[in-house]
Amino acid sequence: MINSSNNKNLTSDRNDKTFNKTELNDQNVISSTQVQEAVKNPDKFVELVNRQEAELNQNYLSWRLKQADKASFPFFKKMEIIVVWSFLSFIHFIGKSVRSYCGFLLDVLGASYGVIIESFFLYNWRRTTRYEFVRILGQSLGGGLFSTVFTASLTGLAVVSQAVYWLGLTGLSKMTAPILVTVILRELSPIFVGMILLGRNGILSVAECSLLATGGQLRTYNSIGIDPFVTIVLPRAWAFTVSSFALGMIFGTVSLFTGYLVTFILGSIKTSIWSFYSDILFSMAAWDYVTIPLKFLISGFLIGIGSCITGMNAKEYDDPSTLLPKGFTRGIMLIMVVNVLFTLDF
Amino acid sequence: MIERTTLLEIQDAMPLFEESNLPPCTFNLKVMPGDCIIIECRDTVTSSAFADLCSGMIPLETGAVYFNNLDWGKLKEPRLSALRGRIGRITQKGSWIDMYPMSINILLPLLHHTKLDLKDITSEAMELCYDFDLPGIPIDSPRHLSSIDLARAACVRAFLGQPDLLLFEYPLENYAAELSVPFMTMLNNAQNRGAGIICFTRQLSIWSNYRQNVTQWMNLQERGLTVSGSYNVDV
Repeated sequence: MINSSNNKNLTSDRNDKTFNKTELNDQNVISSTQVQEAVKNPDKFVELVNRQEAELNQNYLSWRLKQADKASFPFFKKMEIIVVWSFLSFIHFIGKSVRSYCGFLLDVLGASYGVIIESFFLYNWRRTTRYEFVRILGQSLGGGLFSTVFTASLTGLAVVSQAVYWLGLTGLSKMTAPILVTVILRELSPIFVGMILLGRNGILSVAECSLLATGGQLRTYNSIGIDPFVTIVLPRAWAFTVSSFALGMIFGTVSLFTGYLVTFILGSIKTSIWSFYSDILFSMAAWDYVTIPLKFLISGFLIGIGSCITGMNAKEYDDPSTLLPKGFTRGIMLIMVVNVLFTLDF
Repeated sequence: MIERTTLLEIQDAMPLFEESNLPPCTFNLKVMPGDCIIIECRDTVTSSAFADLCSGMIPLETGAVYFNNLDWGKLKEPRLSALRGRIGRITQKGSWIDMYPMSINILLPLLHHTKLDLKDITSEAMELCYDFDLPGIPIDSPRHLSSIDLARAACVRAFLGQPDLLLFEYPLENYAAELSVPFMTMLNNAQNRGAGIICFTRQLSIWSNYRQNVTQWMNLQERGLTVSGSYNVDV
């Protein structure tokens, strides 16, 4: 027969073996004032809950270390607990970082699928969507034209003229066209155009969309029955696609023309501009006619979507100093991913 | 003759606590065509959340919200957005999109939801602008407009296109002297053509001149939505 004192001992023993969360919860209880604040600011509330969870975990660690005193080899047991604990924190850190980047890539993929599917429905191309498409197309084409022409001229001056000059000196003039196709048209121009588009318009999109998200305009859009995905993300993605392609073609043409002009003036090249362009065209493989435009189209499309998503996911505590660099690095990552993928395959 | 079918019905609706700023209780409300309900609510966040509930933007734990006899919870896009297009709203926060000129901001709902000729929409908006003492449709960016002009423009946008339901969050609170006459005239016209109206207010006295047209006075607070009887304030 077990008497009442034995009963008490058994209970206390059992409590020692299990982590009593309720006791700790009493210490970490969220007050009613904090709940009321949470109703007004959910992000702050999440932060508070996370902090309290961290405190709870810390308490759990000290509880486990105390428990280890009762084990046969307390020192080794404690070491084991600490090593496993640190390893878990390390895994948590890696997982968090990977999930953040993968999350963005998955968001971009999901949104891209959404944009492509929604674009097929005619009712999504209403006046408001068309207005936004034309506005952004004008902004990105008109705004990016001068930068593109200028950058293309500099590229032509530096790359084309140097390539023509040095290849001529080494007696490899016949290799000029294939090298220019590879270096300028296939590799450099998608990166340069992507960066111009990102810097000139992508970052602007990040700023505009973040203002819409933090200012409550996206909610207002929803409340009057206007889907922001259809009226903002969809037209911007296509406008960026079209302007990326157009600017890419301008970039290629201008850079080759400037390069030709400089080398012609210096006397390194004697042929006419038409035969120079003709050489370039003939040195392009059939796949180049597909992959080069595709690079422009896909990187423009992804810059549009990536910028909008980065902006629209902005929280109230985000400000331009954190958001714009984030938008820029993400955009650069997307441009490089597209270029590297195409380079690997072709 | 106004057809007396229910315009908006909130039936034992309990919003999900995590997804709304409303008190955790059940809500019941019936708005018939031509009704004008004034809800006294001190907290702007709660009133916005209740307006969102009426617009079917808040997921419910129990109950349902019907608008034009259609359950918000069962509607899918694009019908969901199209139905929301039948609601005229004045919001407290985030009403204007700075990247668009004011004219587009005002015409946005009609440009999106209808195929009406731009000329017709513009002329209707122009008339409303004159009614609210604006010299015409503003074309500047919302940033460059004074707060009273923004309030006037908000009224124009809400009444534009003769919506079935009007949800106003504190429309006269700061500009009663300038806006009350045109606003109440338009409100009366909307009621006469059969629109349902829900107005949130902090000061009941603002509505003293319109009390004969108000069908219900209510309170929105921690206990939920309660009927507050008739308006009895010495003016």
